[in-house]
Amino acid sequence: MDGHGADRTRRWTPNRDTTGPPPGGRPLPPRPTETTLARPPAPRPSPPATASTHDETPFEVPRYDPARFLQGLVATGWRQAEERGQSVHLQGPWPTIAVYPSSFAAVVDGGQDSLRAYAGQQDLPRHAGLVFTRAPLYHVNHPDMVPLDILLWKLALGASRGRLPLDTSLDTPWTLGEWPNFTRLIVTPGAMSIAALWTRQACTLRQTIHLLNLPPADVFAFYAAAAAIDLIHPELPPPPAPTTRPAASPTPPPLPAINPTPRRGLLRKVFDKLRTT
Amino acid sequence: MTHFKIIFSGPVGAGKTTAIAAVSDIPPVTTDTEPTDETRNLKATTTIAMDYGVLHLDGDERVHLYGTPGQDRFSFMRPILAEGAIGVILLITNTRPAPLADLNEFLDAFHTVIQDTSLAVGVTGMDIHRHPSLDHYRQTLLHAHVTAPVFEVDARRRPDIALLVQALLLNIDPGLDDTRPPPTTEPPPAHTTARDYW
Ligand SMILES: Nc1nc2c(ncn2[C@@H]2O[C@H](COP(=O)(O)OP(=O)(O)O)[C@@H](O)[C@H]2O)c(=O)[nH]1
Ligand SMILES: [Mg+2]
Repeated sequence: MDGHGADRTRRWTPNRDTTGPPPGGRPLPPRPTETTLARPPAPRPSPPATASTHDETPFEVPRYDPARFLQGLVATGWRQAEERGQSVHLQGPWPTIAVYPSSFAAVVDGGQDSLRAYAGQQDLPRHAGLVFTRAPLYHVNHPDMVPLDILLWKLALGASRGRLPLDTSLDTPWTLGEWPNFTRLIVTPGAMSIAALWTRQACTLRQTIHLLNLPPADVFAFYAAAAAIDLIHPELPPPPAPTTRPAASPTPPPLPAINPTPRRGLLRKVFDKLRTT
Repeated sequence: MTHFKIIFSGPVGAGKTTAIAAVSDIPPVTTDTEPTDETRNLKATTTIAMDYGVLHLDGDERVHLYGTPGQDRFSFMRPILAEGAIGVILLITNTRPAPLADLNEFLDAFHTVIQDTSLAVGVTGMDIHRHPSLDHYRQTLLHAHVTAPVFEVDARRRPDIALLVQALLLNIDPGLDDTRPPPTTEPPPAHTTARDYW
């Protein structure tokens, strides 16, 4: 047998709790930080702060508020329709989006790609009208039917444009509960590498940028998209210490190392050969 | 010299032959044969439906692609097949009666090589049957304590199979795709322009 027995990366212990409840049912979109509708625009997010990886390479941390984009509107509409057991039409100065929570699907007037020009427009949802209905307008096998996760992934990429959602910490260790279904999603640069890392072990954004040597914007865009479909979870805190101590401020775990496999050269050649774009 | 290979397995009709054809540099060699009148009734027990393809890499290196249905009666071949394995691609089709039972059967059959290497699961036929969902497949893997990418694929689409194999490789080494120069220590540009990812 010539396996990867000597491959040290195999010994990375994922910090995920595999004894927890299995992922079941459909994920609900995460609750936006503020309600999207009928609200004056929030003040602009503060100008991008700079941060650095462990090797002190500085980088900008631009932010965006998902609730102020179509991404947030679809997430909110989806949740409200789900709670009512209805479908919802999201109307406004964009192609109408019909969301069918029970089918985990949406239908966009003119097809999902007609939303591309609107996904990055801040405060567009202020002009939204939500029409809830029990009767679906479209046939369930409508050719423009798109799974909600595929649509939200795109809308999040269009809104983020390489920016990190507000309030997302660079130093919280994140894990990915599962590999995204990449054959049916937009595969952004570095997305598959991040997925491989985060399904294996918890990692902060700062560590991820450093470990995978990725442009921060690529990591932020992936985070935004995966968070939009609720795939990302903070690492579970360790059980409380037996002695009572003042709560320590959270410190990032030590930077894990990526130990390249002895076969990295060969694997990389295969990987490159299979690049499709 | 080690004979590196990627194993494609899964039940009959899951798309192994098609998937290997989609990425192989040579027309795949397959032992699948149309049953003759004499063997029609015997086919299920007489055919070893193996597929073979190859990926040519630069510097004369190559990776062999083997397709095997992995029936129990050929279990004696598994250690031979596992020799030099980079990983296992399991193709499971939603068009068969019990796809999750199929997955469990193949996880079992390739247990050792999966543990020693890497696994990626491609679910075919989802254009015909949406169920079981990818979530059901993931739960089945979780029960078996296996972490692996699970993608919806159509074996006839090269990009689907190529992406699945890439995920298999990254599951071995997440840093594989890092070919960028190390970051500079220069301060970031005063205003980084946002870019389009969609
Ligand atoms: N509808 C559909 N057909 C598929 C898909 N993947 C493969 N096929 C077809 O399924 C049939 C069986 O594939 P084959 O490669 O012979 O399966 P094998 O027995 O595992 O080698 C072929 O006709 C393929 O073209 C898929 O995702 N959807
Ligand atoms: Mg075949």
